[in-house]
Amino acid sequence: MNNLDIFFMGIKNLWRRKLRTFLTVLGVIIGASSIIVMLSLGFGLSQAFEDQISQWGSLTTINVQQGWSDPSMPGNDGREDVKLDDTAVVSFKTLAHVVAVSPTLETYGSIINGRYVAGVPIRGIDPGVMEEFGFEIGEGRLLSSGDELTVLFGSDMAQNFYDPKARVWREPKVDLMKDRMTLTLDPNYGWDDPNIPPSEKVNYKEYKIKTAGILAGGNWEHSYGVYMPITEVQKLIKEKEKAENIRPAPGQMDSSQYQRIDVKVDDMKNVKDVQDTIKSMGYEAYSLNDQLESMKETAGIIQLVLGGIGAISLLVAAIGITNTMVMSIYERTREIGIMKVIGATINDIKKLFLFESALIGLLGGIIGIGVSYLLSFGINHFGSAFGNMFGTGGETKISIIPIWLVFAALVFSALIGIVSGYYPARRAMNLSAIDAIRTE
Amino acid sequence: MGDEKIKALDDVSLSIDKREFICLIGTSGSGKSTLLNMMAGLEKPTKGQIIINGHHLEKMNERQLTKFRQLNVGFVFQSYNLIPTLTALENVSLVLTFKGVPRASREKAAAKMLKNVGLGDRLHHKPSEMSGGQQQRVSIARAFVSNPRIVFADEPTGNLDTRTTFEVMDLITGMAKEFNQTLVIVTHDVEISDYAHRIVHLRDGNIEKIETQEIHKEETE
Repeated sequence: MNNLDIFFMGIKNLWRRKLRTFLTVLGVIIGASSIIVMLSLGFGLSQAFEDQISQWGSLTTINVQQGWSDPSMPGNDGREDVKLDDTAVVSFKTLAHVVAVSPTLETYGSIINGRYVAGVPIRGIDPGVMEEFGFEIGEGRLLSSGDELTVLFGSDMAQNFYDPKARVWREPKVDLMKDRMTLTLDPNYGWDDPNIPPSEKVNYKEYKIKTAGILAGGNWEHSYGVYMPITEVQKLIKEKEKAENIRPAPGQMDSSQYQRIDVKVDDMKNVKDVQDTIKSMGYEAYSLNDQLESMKETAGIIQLVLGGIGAISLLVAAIGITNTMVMSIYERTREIGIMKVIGATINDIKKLFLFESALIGLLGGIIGIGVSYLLSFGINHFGSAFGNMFGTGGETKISIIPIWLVFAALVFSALIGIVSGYYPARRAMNLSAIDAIRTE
Repeated sequence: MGDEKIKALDDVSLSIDKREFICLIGTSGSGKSTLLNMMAGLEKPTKGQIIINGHHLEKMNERQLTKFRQLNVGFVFQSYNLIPTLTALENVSLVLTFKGVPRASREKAAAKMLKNVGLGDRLHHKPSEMSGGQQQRVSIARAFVSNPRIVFADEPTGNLDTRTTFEVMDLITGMAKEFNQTLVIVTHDVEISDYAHRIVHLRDGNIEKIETQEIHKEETE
């Protein structure tokens, strides 16, 4: 018997018992859609966690800092401290999966724009790798290595300007792209501290600065502060130290060292490996992945529980299929007997019954996916209040159905059908033809 | 009753030639149906051998038996045993479906066979819409459509009136002759046994006697 005939005969048999087929399929629809929707909530949750964390900064960036070693700790004796210098930068660059490395220096200063002032962290970075580190320009351009006294503003910097003489805060009227601004490294600019005698006042240099651009919003890490090429920041720091007349204490950071080195990794799944490698070199390394891992673990457990609830209804549906097929065999005993006598092989009989039950499963799966999409849409549409409860915000979807889940559901529901139909099919196969024919 | 063992057949030895028409006759409980079922591979003997064309039926498993039946055997039953949900055409072509014959050619063959049995105008009727004689003719068409080597018939006229009985018997014997098939018929009707080359009389599970009817023997030779 060829497969096409089995296909048509199976459909015909199911059609013959429309109501029962429909009810059995309905069971599978409920089972499949409940498992899909439950899992989609789990995916939504873990996506929400991911979105939330990625707002704090890039998930593929590792922040490397000076390792601290306590000589009293066993194993740390005589170990030389690793330094965050150009050698470290080069050695990170050679690691597998590392896309870009940028040393970072940070100092603090004030920017004066007419009567407005803003206290800002000034970050020196390598202009060559800005794109790799996810700097997105909102206005103007990114930094380039030749820029002198040119700054790139964080996305929300305009709001940080204030008028020191005003009594109430007003929206500052500044245009960062056009206004002329000066920069000073005086941390207390605009505050006349009466406790410091005028003789001890440091005469900080004031620099006229140009604006390269303003970063695009949406990334908390890039919203505050200004960016300059790292060589410029090194220069500024030197001049500040000169003005303050202090020298770096021995053991303190000298100018060949950086405060931090950022390492960009090609993919999230490699972050942990690279991070561990860097740690084993003696540095301290942090990434947002640390938080994400534990949050994802939580999401995974929630998803498992939800999926388990869905699985129960699918199990009930599977029993429903078995029941339907067993009933069908009781009714069709005589027919099976006739078919066996007139030349159906037992493989034909088995295939016929397995096909029917697989079709019930598959049909339930297909419609179940449709129902799941409707439910998922409904949840996302009407359930934003529920989402806010989780603190995920309105933009994140609560229920996400990945495309692979659709295919997995199709295969799985057909498989459930086959497994449920296996016992009935064996029963039909093993019916004695002569006994079956005698049944009235 | 209960655990008491009953020997439906005991010490039966019978050989049937190709193209022969054998009639098994006996009263109810004589073992004639059991013998037929065993020859067709529907029941297994507890002891002894059944050899058809060199194949030992008693050694075959269910899988092999179903295949053997598909290739070699056609059946006609007393109670017709048509599938009630299928039309005459579908019932007949079902046999060829199991053999893997494509749809167009099997429906053509089935329609031709139904015309042969005089049901050319009943192709799309269901069994419930036909008389007993018509149903039995459908089942004859079904038995012959795959051109089996042997056709077994178990009381094929048991549910039919006298006139239809002769029609049906003429049909069966005529077709078996036309297609050079071996024919084994079980009956308790002496008139039917007149058609046969040999008549095997069974009583209480034993062969009582075997009559050879020379008139028919000559016809075939």
